[in-house]
Formats: sequence, C-alpha cells, structure tokens
Amino acid sequence: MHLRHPPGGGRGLSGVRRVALAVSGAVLLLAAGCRQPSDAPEISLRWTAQPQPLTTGPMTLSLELSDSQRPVTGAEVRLEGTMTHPGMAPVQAPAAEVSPGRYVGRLDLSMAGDWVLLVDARLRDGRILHRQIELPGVRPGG
Amino acid sequence: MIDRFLRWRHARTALQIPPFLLGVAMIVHGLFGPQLAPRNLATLLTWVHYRGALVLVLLAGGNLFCMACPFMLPRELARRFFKPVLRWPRRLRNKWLSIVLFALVLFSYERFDLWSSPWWTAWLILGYFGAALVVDALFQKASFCKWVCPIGQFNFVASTVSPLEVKVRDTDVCATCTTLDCIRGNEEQRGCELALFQPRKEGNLDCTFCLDCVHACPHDNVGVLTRVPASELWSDARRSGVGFLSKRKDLSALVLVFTFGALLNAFGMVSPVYAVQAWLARVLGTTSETPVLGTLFFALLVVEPALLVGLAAWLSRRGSKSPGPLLPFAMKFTYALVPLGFGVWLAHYGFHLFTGLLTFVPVAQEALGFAPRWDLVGLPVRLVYPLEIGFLGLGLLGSLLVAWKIAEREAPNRTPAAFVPWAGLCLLLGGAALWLLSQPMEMRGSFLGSLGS
Repeated sequence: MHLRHPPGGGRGLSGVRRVALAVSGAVLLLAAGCRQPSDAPEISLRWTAQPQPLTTGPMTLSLELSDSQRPVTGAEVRLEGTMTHPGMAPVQAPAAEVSPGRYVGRLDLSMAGDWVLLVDARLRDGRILHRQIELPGVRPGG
Repeated sequence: MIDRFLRWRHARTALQIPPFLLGVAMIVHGLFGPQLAPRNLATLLTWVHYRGALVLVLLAGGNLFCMACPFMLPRELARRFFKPVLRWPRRLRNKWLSIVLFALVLFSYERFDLWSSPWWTAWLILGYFGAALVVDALFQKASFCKWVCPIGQFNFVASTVSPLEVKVRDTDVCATCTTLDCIRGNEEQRGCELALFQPRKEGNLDCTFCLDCVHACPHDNVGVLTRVPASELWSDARRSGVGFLSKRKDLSALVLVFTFGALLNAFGMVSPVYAVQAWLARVLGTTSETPVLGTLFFALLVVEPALLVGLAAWLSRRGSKSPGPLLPFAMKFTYALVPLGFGVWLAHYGFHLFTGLLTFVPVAQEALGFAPRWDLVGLPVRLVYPLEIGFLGLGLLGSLLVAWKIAEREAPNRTPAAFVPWAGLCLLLGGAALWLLSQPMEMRGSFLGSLGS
C-alpha cells in the first residue's frame, strides 16, 4: 500500500493538531450548551388530557400546579407539543389559569403518532418549572 | 474552480473535515444534550438532514457523501501509524455481509426507534467510526467501504442513477499507459483501494469518489465526468472490480433489499403498519415487538421480492421464449428496479428534509446557548407532497426505461413480451409506493401501547 503523503513531514502533524484543536473547541462549546435547564422539583404537577383516547386535531390539557399541597397561582405557563420524530413542526400555546392553581391550554395535534408535551412555567416568585408529558399513540382523527 | 479543487491532493481531506466536526458535535450533543429527539443535533441531523441531503446529492451529483465520508478520517490517521497486514477473507469478498448489515440497520431503526433516541443515535455514529477504524486497521485496502459499510452499499446502488461518474477522459491515453498508476499507485499517491481499474471501470458501483485514481494518474486522464444517469444499469459488460452484473447474485439481492427496503421503511411511517403489527401479534400470540417486526421484515424483504420477481421473471422468460434457467434471467432484470427504489427513498427522505429543513437552526441555537427560534420549521406538507409524487414518478419512469433496455438486450426479437411483466411489477410497486405516500403519517414507536387500542 502506498501512503498518500510521504512519511516524516511535519506538515501533517500540524494539520492534525489544527483538527484536534477545532474538535476540542466544538466539544467545549457544545458541552457548555448541554446544561440542563433549571427546574423546581418541589412543585407537583398533575394533568389530564381530552379527548380520550387522544386523536389528531384539537386537544385540551388541564394542569394542576401545587407546592406542598397549596395551589400555585399566578404562573405564566406555556405548552409546546412536539413529536418524538425529529424535524416535525412543534405546536405551541399558552395555558390560562381558570381557577387557583389550575391551568388549561389547547393544542392542535397535527399528526398521529407519539407526542411529547413540554410544560414551561415561570412562577410568581421567579422559579422556573420545566416538565415533560408523554402522549404516546395519538390516533388519526375522524 | 471545482476542477482545480478536485485535482488538489488534499481535496478529499478538506471535504471530510466539516462532516467530521459535525459528527463529533452530534456525538457530544447526543450523549450529553437534551434527550428529546427534535431538540437534539444527533437525531435531527442524522435522521432528517443527513438522509435527505444524501439522496438529493446522489440525484443531482453523485456519490459525494462517500467522497466526504468522515468515518474515513480516523482511519487515514491510523494508517499513518499502523500498516494493515491482513487481506479481507476471500469468502467474504461479496455483498452478503453488508446486505445483512443493511437489513439490520433498517430493522434496528424500527425495533429500537432510533429516530427518537439521541443517546442511541450518538452510539450508532460512534460505533460506525469504531467499525471503520477497526476493519481498516486490520485489513488492507478499503475493505470496510467495499465489503462492510451498509451506507456505502446504499450509496453504490443509488449512485447508479447519478449524473456524475469518476471515469477516464480519453481511452486512447490509457491504451499507451505502461505504469497503470490509477490501480497500482505510485510513490506519492496510492491507487484505487476498491480494485477498480479505470480503463475497465464502468459505472459507479463500488466507487467511493475518493479521487485516488484522479490524483494518481500521471496523464491527468481521470476525472469526475457527466454521463447518462442509470445507463450503467442496462449494460452487462464486464466491469473491473465488479464483474458481470448478471452473474452477481449478491448485487441482485442488494438491489432487491434496496428497493423493497425503501417501501418497508416508508411503510413504517404510516398508520396501516400498526394494524398489521397488531394483527401479526395476535396471530403469533405475542406482545413482544421483535418477533412481529422480524416476521414483517422477512415477509417484505425476502418472501415478497422472491414471489414478485420470480413471477415477473417466469412470465417474461415464457413470453420472450428466452432459454436458460429462471434465476440468472431474473437477476438480469432486477437492476431495473433501482430507479424506482431510489425514487421511493427520495420521496420519503425528501419529505423529512423539506418539512424540517430549518429545524436545525433553533436546535443549534439552543445547543450553543442562544435563544432558539422554534418557529423555524420547513416547507408545509401540501407543498412537499407534489415533490414526493414527482420523485416517485421519476423513479418509475426510470425503471420502465431500464426494464425496456434490458428486455431489448435479452430478447431482441420479443422485446415487448419480455418487458411487459417487468413493467407490471414496476407499476405494482409504484402503485404501492403512491398508496404509502398518500397515507396519513404516524410517527410512533409505542408498539405495545398500540396493541390495546
């Protein structure tokens, strides 16, 4: 087998170093961006979804947020529905507080399959809540 | 300018570095980033952008993804320090191993819902880097590319319909050449590691567009040139490093897995597959997905092609009164299915690419710590659907053309009789693909959950 480059030259090694440097930079940058978002684990979240079974089209998600069994009021809640397959358009909607600690949002599930709902909330005291709700097997609508 | 760049001997390395860096970023993000597939670079770039770009580049150019293959960079680096001493085992010098691996990748994709797992996708990429490194560290030449790599086999088959080919500019120059550097190499440049001797090379099969022959030729007589797409499929001349297409059972089988695998892969994305799986689970009396999927794969990748191709071959041979046994006759015509299979891959992967074209922007923004623009998505489905139909129609027309040309070659006096059964098969498969594309999509991995519903 013939080597592509004559052995012994210093140019190849400097090229390798450059690549290694670039790779290290990319890894560090990404590692910095891979930090998980902060959460408020003490907040309890209960949810129900309608209709059942879930089908494509409009769906309503009701959330109950509580902290030590006391309703969490005045939070800004946003919902985002995304499929488990990458590259699909996410659907987003706010959830409005309809009674103390109870928030309701409507989403339009555009395709049958497995969905994940991301719940992002900013509480009145500034705490941030991120939760993930799995909705497997959404059926095609009628 | 492109010509000058390709003649530069570091051209391939320069093309490999960006995908390599991207691959490293995908591995890091897949292992340590958010484990939600739409928000992770590993899953998004692998299953949406890479696959879509791959088939589009194959359609518009050639096997440029093998040319820029990042898995070869660590291998090239390793070969500076280790010189492989083993030769690839003679019994494995065929496509059977890579066919099994190709089918295994398709099976694993469905069984383990690879599209939804950044972690597993990252390990798949890492595994690929490792496999290429180990195989080519142990075995001489480009053993991994030629005999192992499932992506490479996909690219080899698909590139038969590409408009570009690495080939000789002037055959008269080759006739007077005494050094044969394109295959033997020289002190500065190795020759073709895939055993493709340029003057006798025909078509893109087994060619990784590595440019070694371009750089090795002292007469500057090898280049990336245009040709009639798919024309190599109806030629049965002896090809360097490949032999006669009509005598390669493994290549025929690869073409069948490529074509029927395209339909199977698309079938996995639509609603009816869950009804079929639930029915199979009841028949087999199991709640495990593995035997159900295994049965489905065996039926659609082995039984269905054997029955349909066997029937078409029998009718075609009978109608054209062609002599000889059925299997070699069938093998000659299987290559006609390549354009249709490619059209289905193109429609399917093109759909994901176009509908999710810009989704990499917010995911990259989030990965790098910027505010993500989640509203950036891609083209609406209603605009992409006509493109899908166009790709499928193009593939079907290509298959009909290749089938006619092969029928002309094999039955010059009874061409229509030899052609009609294969045309019927192409129309049947094209119709099945059209039906699949018009089904509501259902992207789901929750097999067990679906059984009760």
